[in-house]
Amino acid sequence: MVADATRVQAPAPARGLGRGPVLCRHCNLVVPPGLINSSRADQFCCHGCQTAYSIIHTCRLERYYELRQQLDDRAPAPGTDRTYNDFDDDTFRRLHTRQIGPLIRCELFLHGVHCSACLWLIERLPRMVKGLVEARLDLRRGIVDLAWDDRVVRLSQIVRTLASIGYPPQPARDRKSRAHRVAEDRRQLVRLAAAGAIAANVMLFALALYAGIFDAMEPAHRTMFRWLSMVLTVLSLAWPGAVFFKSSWVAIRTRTPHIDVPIAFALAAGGLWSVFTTIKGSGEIYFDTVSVLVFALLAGRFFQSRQQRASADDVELLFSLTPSSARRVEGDATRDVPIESLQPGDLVQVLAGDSLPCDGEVDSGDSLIDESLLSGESRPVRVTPGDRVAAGTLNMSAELFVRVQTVGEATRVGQLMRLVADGAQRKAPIVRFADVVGAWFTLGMLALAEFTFGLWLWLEPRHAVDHAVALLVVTCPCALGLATPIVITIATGRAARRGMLIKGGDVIQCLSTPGVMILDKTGTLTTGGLALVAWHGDDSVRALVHAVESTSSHPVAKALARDLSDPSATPLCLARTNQVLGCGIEAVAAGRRVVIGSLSFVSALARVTLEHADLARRWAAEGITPILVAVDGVSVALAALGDGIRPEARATLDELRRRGWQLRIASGDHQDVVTRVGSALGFTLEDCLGGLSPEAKLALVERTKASLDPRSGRRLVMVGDGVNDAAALAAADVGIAVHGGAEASLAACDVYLSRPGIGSVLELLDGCARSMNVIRRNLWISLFYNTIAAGIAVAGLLNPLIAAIVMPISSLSALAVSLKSRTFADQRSQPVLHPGSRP
Amino acid sequence: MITLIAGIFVASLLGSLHCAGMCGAFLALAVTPDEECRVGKASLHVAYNVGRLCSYTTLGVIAGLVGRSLDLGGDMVGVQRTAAIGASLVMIGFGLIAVARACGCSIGRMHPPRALQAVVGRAYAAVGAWGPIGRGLAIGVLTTGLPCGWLYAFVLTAAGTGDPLSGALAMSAFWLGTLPVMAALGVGLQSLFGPMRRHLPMATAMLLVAVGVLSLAGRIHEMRRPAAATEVHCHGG
Repeated sequence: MVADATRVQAPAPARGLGRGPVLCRHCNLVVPPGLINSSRADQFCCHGCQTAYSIIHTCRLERYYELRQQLDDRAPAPGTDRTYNDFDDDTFRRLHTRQIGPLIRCELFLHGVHCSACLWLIERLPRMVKGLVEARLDLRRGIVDLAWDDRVVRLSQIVRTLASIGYPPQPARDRKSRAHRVAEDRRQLVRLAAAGAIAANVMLFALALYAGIFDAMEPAHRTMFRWLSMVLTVLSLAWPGAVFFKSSWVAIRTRTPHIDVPIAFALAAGGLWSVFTTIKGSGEIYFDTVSVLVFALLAGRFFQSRQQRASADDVELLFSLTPSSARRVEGDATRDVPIESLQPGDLVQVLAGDSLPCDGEVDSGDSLIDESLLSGESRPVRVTPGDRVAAGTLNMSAELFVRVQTVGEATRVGQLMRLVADGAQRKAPIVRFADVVGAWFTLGMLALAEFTFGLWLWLEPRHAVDHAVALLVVTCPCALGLATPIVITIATGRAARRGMLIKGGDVIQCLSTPGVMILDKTGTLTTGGLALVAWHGDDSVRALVHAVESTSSHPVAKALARDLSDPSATPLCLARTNQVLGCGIEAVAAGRRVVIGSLSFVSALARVTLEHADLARRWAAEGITPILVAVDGVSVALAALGDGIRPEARATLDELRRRGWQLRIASGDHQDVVTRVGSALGFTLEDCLGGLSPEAKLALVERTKASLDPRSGRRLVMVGDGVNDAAALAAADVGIAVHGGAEASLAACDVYLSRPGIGSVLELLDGCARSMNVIRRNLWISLFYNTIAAGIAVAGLLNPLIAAIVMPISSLSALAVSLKSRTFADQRSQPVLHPGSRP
Repeated sequence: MITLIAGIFVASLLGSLHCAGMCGAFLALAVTPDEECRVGKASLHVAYNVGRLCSYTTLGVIAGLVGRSLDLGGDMVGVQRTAAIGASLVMIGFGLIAVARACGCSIGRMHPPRALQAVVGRAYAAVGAWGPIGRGLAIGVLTTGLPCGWLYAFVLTAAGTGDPLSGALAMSAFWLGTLPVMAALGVGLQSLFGPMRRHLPMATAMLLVAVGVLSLAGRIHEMRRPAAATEVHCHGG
């Protein structure tokens, strides 16, 4: 059986042989050198693993290794050949570093930090790099704070080490606002800690007092404990608890009651009444209730704000869109300089595979530029000297020299960023569901407390305050206030585990009812790359075309080679090839002369039939790229390259329509292409909008949004993935960015789906609808409980102490319901693995 | 005895990354719920680990019985605690061989019988079709069928106790040590332990030697107190 297993994987060389430790084929741990058998393809660290490996093959569970590989692949380790010398540049130092004593400090944003192992590794960096004194990583934001001695080590050396261990860094900009946020976080934490310490101490005194009831406490001790509780509770109300009074004051002044108002009333009433009874020397005190309440409410608030902060930080991703450095040509050499030091008129070198650092004009070179990030155009554009190029686009095939015209915010991509930022700011603050209910509830309870007080003042003045406080405490809308954030926190957490990052609670509300959805085409409904969409003519030449195109790295050639590959075909012999950039390729394969390329290129070298020429022109007019194939001097076939439709798109769109969503396509691509894709996906002609600039998309979103009646609950959802979508994503009620898109749109969006395409949109909508149901159920439970409890309190059947014990029940029930509820499916979080399942 | 049990627990805990690597696939099979199944993942984890516990303790009892019969045989020819000393020495030997392999020395190894592999393989294939809880339990039980040197080194230690109950206890301690890592599988454990992976062969080899020495030292200490040892032995028997 072992032999069988080995045969399955025979061709692969033993992993790691000759470069670092050899890993066990099964468990992925290091094979002890003494057990390595270099004659075998697969190495195992023990018999157990060897047996397990063969059993897995027997059970046809090979997919396990694939899944494990996928998990391992999540850990990024993109090695780069960058020198990082720009980090030593004076401009960089002035902008991003600060001198503190003998050391220099700098904050860098690291790509790919995700777990405690990263933290462990990065914080041990000072042991690897001499002169680096400290490396502190903020795991949540992926920002490392470095402190080093400049006389011993240069920043570029540290940065190279970071990149070599798999964390390519870039400067963390926006340092000022972050420092401000850190200070605010710290203030909140200090308040929370103070409230916690006070609550714990007051609880201790309360325990002693309760124990004293059964165990005859000395009156002097009793008084002392009551006074100590009072001092601490007053401190708690005056310092950490002051936030509730401040916010209530603002609410009252602006006449927008929210849940802080009854909280403040209850805290004030409980506190003042307890102070009164303490000074009087007899009667109940509620210092324990009040101080614990302050702590619990602050804790809830702290975690909520942390959650919101995390999403705001994503805006920093905006900066990762353009490179942080450029290669400036200085005389005969090039030097890495930070992008901020580029001046108009400078000449920069842009290698194949690099993003352009600036807007400018091509000085020399001939290459293809992928502008899909900016324009949504899926086909690469050829640029030659004199052509304009834009920052953030990708140089695909050859080295270019570009004369700088504008850098930074003045570039086209920079201006789009500005639109994004404005779009995000213009977003109307959606009044949260719970707040609406909470406001009315608050007013009702305050009126009821007043009524209770009046009633009992008339019936039995001695207990009037007791009953009013009992009412305020037992109906404290904690559950009402907790219901929404708890469900949202749990739902967003579960969604994140499913690869759907949701930025705010309002998104869940918006997506729970059908509305209008505008979809970007490139990368959302289609794969976003070139693919073979049609073939006309002789099928037997496919193998020839594959063989010829396999030799070229041109995007068109790559797409043809990929889509025409046939594993069963025998490899063909190629004699010679001649490639003409931007036109086509000529080769001799299997003894036949093959010419592949554009109509004009093939026409010049071979005879093109009328049928082929007509079809090529028609396809070109429809926005797909025709590629002619001529063999031995005559055109024999025609391939069409376009943007392939994602396999799951049609089914997803049909289901969305069935649920009542109104769908439209908005794309920057040619109108004909959009119409072709749209009709294949069941869109009517008027719902396919092509040739839209980013600005036009934004206008479309705003126009559609304005046409929706806000009271109907129908919202505008934009689904896209490029920078050209960023402004529209930000302006929509909900912007959904799908995987594979630019990081800028991720900063502007409300939801980010890590899986490509729109397949997971349905899952997102389901989860949101379920979450809203849970929120509503929580609110009903809370309202039901509060109504019953209020009735009992008004009837004078509840004393404040019992009220304080009963009060958390509604919060706990809300918590229990939320935790048990199935918002975003957890059970499907792991890929299903069954015997016999094949990839 | 307590020292030995604690030693086994610590060694098992530290070396359990190997278990995670080796049994990860089976664990995944055991805890993957069926599409229509209403059984929670936690229940499947419990089933799998209870299955493991059952088979480990059974193995511990058998090993303890074997150890006891060795002890009885040894007593007849006047050698006390044969099983303990033998097991400890073999364990140290195992450990030293593993250290040598980790250092690059190539030492031949015994191959487990093919028949065992075939039987275990068939059993795994058969239980794959069972209901989720039964499958989890059965896959847990079948873990002992894998010829894992690490597991069997501890079975040897269990035999060394010369008592079925202590053997079961020793194997329970081993199970307990593996539990955290096995329960945490699927949360990116491989990457968490990334930097440690390189030194794992040497670390586990050293642990084997340490447990062997610990066991041996305990037995020698007991032999120095013949009266007490006899007493314990009598009570045990």
